[in-house]
Amino acid sequence: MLGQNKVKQFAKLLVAWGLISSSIGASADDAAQTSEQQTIYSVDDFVTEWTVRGMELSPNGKHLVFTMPYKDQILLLIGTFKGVDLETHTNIPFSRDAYPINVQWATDDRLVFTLRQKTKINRTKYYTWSEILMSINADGTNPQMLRTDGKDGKNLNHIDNADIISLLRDDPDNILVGKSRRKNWLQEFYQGAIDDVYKLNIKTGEMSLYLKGPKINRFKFNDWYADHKGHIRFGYGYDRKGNSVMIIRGRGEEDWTVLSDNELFEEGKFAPLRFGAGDNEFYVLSSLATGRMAVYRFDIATGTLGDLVFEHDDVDVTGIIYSVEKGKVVAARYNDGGPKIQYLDDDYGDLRNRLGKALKTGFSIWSKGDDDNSMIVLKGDERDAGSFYFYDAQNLHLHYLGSRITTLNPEQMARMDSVAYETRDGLTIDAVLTKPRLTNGDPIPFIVMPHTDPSGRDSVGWHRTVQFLANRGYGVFQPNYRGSSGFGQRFSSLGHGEWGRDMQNDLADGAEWLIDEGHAEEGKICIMGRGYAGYAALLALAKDGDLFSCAIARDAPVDIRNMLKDRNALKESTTTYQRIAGDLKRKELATISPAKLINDMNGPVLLYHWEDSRYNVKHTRKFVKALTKAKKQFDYLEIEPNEGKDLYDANKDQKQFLELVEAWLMKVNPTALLMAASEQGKASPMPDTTESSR
Amino acid sequence: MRLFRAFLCTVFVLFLAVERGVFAQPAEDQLSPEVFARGASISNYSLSPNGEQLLFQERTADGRFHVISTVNHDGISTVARHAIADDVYASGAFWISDQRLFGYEVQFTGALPKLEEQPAITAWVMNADGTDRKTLWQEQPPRGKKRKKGRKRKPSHQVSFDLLHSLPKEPDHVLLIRVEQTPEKRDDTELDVVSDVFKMNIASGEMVKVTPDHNIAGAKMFSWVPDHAGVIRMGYGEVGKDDEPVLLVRKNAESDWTRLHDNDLFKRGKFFPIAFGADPDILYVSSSMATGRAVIYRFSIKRGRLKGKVFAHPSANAGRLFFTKDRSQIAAVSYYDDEYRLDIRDEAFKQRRAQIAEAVGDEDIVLASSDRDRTRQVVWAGDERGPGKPWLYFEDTNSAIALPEPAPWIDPEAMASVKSIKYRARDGVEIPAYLTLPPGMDETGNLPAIVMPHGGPYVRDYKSWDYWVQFLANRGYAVLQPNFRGSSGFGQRFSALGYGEWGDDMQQDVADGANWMIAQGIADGDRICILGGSYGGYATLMGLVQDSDIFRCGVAWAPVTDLRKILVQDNAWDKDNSWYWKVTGGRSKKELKEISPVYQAKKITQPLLLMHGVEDDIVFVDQSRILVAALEKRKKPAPFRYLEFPGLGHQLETDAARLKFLKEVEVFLSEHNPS
Repeated sequence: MLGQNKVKQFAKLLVAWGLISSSIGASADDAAQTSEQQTIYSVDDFVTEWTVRGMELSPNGKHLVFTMPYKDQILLLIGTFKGVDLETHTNIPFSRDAYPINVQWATDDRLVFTLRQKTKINRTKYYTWSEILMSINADGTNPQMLRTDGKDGKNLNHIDNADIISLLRDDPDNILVGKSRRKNWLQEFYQGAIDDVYKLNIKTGEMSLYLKGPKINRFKFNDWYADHKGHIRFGYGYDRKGNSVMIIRGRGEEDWTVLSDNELFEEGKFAPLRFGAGDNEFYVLSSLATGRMAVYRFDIATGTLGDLVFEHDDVDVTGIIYSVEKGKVVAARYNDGGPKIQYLDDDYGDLRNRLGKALKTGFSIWSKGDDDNSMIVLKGDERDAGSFYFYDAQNLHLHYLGSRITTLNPEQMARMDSVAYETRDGLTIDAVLTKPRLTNGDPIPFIVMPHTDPSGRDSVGWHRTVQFLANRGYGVFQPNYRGSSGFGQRFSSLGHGEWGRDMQNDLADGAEWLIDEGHAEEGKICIMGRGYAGYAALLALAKDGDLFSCAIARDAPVDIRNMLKDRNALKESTTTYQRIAGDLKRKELATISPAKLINDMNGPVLLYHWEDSRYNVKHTRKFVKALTKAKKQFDYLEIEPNEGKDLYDANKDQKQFLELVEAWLMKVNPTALLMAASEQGKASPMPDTTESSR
Repeated sequence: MRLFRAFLCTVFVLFLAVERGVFAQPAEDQLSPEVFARGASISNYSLSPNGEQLLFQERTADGRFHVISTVNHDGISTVARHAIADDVYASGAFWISDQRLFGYEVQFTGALPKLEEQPAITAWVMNADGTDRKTLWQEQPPRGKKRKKGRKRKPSHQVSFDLLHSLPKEPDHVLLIRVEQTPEKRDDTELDVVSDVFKMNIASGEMVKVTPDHNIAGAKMFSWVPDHAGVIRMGYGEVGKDDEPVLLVRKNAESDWTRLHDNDLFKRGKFFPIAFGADPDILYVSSSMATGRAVIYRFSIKRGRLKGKVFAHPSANAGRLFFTKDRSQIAAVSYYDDEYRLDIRDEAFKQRRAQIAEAVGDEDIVLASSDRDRTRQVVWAGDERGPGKPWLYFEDTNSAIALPEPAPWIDPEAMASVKSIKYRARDGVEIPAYLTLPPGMDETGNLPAIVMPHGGPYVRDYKSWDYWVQFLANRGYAVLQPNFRGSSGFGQRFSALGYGEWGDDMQQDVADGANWMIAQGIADGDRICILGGSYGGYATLMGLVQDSDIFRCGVAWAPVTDLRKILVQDNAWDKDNSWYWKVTGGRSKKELKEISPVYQAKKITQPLLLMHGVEDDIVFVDQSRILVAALEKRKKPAPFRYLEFPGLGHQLETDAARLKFLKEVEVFLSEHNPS
């Protein structure tokens, strides 16, 4: 399973990578000369696997680890910087059925990671991914499996739930891991409870109880936090009613103090972040004060909220950047249209400004050593999936390492803009607007693409589906309809119970805005989405056929009544029912169900359903029958996975879907670029679907 | 330590107790309590449509009068005084033409309303000189059985009239609205409300029913709304067994009704109309859906869609709209964040205000009654340090004359300024508050202090004249009025943070206010007391229960002491009732006891002054009586004094009651927290 041979012949690989790098440079030059030409890329170019993942710099800032897919292998590569040049000295090949994720440096010499392995579920024909902790020296020697369930190395049939609580930087041999006491791995996996903390020797795999979880009011804990010295000082969990609770204690072995302000600590409205420099200094996010997450200091000694570190007027704060060297929060992150950073430290601001000047696009500091001198920078924005650089802050050297996607030239990708529009009921909706790179300003065909999860959120940043559609000549519009997260609790709650009603109207109002502003061509707006958004797409065709001329629904619920029934939530008083349908009576569910509004659907429909989708395929099949009966124009592709053997592969699914979308759009709503792609042989042919007979 | 046992004493003894009290000798800068307790002597200024006559109400030692004066640039001269009968509880009057006044009188069987007593109301018109007085209608209180003490409230059948529009273009007629309330058949704690509109000839008293046809079978219309010209252009009500809302609007008296309730914006209660525009197609509507704060939009009746935002404030609700003279434009929008403010959009409006401010010599002005053409204007000037000084402004000469003052015995210069501040509660919520320091003191005084939570609790304190605050500041106390979470006016989110937080987060905010004053060096941590009425009285008691280390004494007026009991009495012990959730937060009966002072009496270890009006029908007096019984059972007694105010309701309505209250407070504080 694990090749631990310390191969010395990486030259080939590195050359391959180096070549890729230089080809990027070359294509950028090409673009400068031929910027008035739109390069058409194939679906494959968009759904390609990332070249490199998980770059992590060692604590001393000298070594780098990352993984790289290579043919049928995943390579774990470790290198050392000589100046700014990376000398890769260790290559450990893994198979695609068992490969490392979450690779971290435990010390400057040894790594810990999670091995993700395809595993057959006992007594069934099904496979699943299992996970287990491992460690290995940076030179590839002494690999050690870190089982925490007391079993031997075989029979890896479950996720061995060992969450790393602290890497114990001062103790090179040990780390702290949390463990559930539950026997049933499934229950353990879903509840995520961590009852006890163990000290785990990463060289020998030996394990000893470090903290026996205290018995307090039958609390369950999900998170434990250790201070710099490895003392577990802070536990976060929930009580029997499901209210969030916190316990804290001092530096020694004092008794735990229960903090019981359930409203303050409520899950989703509170998030512990990390210890700061002082003994009792902790940082947390809380949205209690304004409905938007803000960063506060939190005193572990007294259990009280301290100063406000940073809040934003409109959106949630999403995290902090902490400098161990400076012992302070140097910046706070938030997403206002796209990811943004507020500097809270001048040196950090200078650093970012220097990098910004050099890179000219968005970037993030991906990984850094303890001393703030060396760091891995990820350059990337909506046109670039990301390129890694090594930055030597002392000598101001910035060195290109490689890119995640090498098949696409960022210069050829489309710009995304953060925009806002007002709905019929006066609400301001934030949205992302993407137009093909070479549009002349005339209204163009558009695809409205709401996000899948009603509580999700779209923002400006790399999005392969959006770039693919723009590359085919479509404008893409991603409205953050009410209920989306990131804009505060009030905005989130406005989506409560508004499936098919206010949330739906927001999409229509967005389409109307696109037309009014001259972005979209009337009669050429399609709506496309997955899950909830697929449902919204179908409903849009039924309810707002004057605005939307076609709909693409992927893995979507089509009948709310059936969906609720599947979830045992057909009672009007259940929270699931209310979250979706609000105050609608059961008999009124037909008014928000596409399957009951087929007669109102007058444009072409594309349905793509992965058989194991969370929305039962039988309702979609029934819907297809009804569409046929009503003589509506549609195509239906049902994806049947190779049952038992294949695990879900998002790239493969996406490729299949985009190829279908491309061919189907050619049929119902083509653009000049799509036709050009077709002529160049870059577009996909229409696969066999269940079709409406015409 | 002396223990007051006033509970079983007679009225006579209660008053004696006050007389026997030992008052601190007033220091030189201390004003007599009478200065603060005395009610306004002049009120209700109203200017006749032609601007030549002024009407106001005056209270003297001889009684109350409607006073009519002529006004001109040189001054004001009384032409008539019409006495208001002694048995009238309240009266109001205003001009409906240049000759005639409309007025009403409210009467109870005694001088003050008894518990749940309904008033008799008489409406009249008369000439300014007192001639040709006609009674328009008289409403007698419904004769029902009196509710037994402790029993649930039940509404009764009731008919009332109200003046809907004075129809200035038809001096002989007014529009009246008759509102009939009938207990519902299926639930007699609910009322059916039906309104009808009548046009009344004020000379003959003849009434003609002019209720518009709405053509909605079975609809019960609560109310009809005329535009500024007196045309009924809007109606609202409900229909069907599910009480579906009905909201109708029309362009003029002839046009068909538009059923706004079919429009999504109004159907689910997101929007409601607030004003008619000059354009008959435009309605001004308000909604707090988008931001949790009232935002005003234009709405096109014809298109059924919003037509642009008029006003939205980042932290406050939109208040009132002010129109230009021809009503074609919005001249200004008012709002109240930490104080009353105007967002002025019309240059003429702005200039006029500036001229008026200059003429009266004060920047702080509020415009009141004016003549038809807005050439003469009653103006109130002054800040929170006084009840205000009235002026009459003349546009033609750009000058103003002083009008008789409501409280000339108050010298604003001797009173304390109120400062708007914010502090952060222990869980990060920012709490707006008002801080009043004794005149001449700064914020580093380490002063004795009073935290004064407001009643409600889902209302707010304003930056305005407050005789409790000013009295306490005059006695040397720093006074903090926290608008703790749950207070209104700071957005729905802030209000909702207070729902179900009685004795919990709302209470902690009050304690955190005290801690803030200590941390700032404003207050001496050993010398802070808590004082409040109604919910503020409850917060006072809970402050003593939960934060006896912070508050060394408390004064509670008409407090709630048993949450479950008062909910039951108010017909609100019911999970379908939103008030139930706002008070209890879904707590069990047992958990409610933990936040009901009457069950926590043994934890009250600091001195308490408790006072309650016997005729209080908002918080029944038994709420205090049961607390007294519980306090007396304490094993470790602490000083407390209980007083009942016979004849008084929830408010301190009379000069005598206010004076008694202030004197009691003064004696109590000088003993337990001397300044």
